[in-house]
Amino acid sequence: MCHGAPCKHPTVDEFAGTISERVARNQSTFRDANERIERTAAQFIEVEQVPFICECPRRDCTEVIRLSLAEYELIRGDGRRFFAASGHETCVVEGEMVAKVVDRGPLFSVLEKVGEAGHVARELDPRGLSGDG
Amino acid sequence: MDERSRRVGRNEALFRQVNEEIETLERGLAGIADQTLHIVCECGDLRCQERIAVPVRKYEETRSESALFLVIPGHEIPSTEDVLERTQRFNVVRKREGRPAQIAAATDPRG
Repeated sequence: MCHGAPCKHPTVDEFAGTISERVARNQSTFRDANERIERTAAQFIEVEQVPFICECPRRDCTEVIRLSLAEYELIRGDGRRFFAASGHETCVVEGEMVAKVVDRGPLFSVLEKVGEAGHVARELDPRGLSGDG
Repeated sequence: MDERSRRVGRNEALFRQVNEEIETLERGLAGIADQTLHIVCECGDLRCQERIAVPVRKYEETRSESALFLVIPGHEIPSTEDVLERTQRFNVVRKREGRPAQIAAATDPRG
């Protein structure tokens, strides 16, 4: 903690960047976790529904959603896309639009990051498959 | 080993991987203020949706041996595993020697 003279240490917000960037980085962490889960599931080709972790922007959400590997791969084919449990769709964070819902299902929805959040999500895509679209 | 036992081993291995990721996320993003992890039941039924609140220390203790898994009481599968420890919220099960234990070891993300 700093007293007296202005603090020279960067604040958490300075590290985190803009709201869009912070949201995209948080969700990319969940995406990385799901990529590791998929690699394990891929060893067992008979598995039909794989338990993945919800990729909503809530940092403390670890809700488990079941997707087929085909559904998962379709989402991962676009670096801006994420999935979230039904009811966890978040398009606006602190007044800033960060995503739009592109597919709404009974168990989960697919969201696409927009604007800066979309750029950051693509930059952090571990597959790096997305074009500039 | 029959197909069911193989499927059970495979499903438990998958839930273990999910829980390893949940642990990393909870440690890295939200922190573990009360030293409790909220993991998924590691039973052999892939449709199981149950969550377990388990002390971090117990989780780490369980993960130190590849044949051990954490399941909701009653979710253990007697044909492939033995209950090592019973509590109100969860049981610790150990995969039997032979193929069940081999699958658990081969899929252990901690190696």
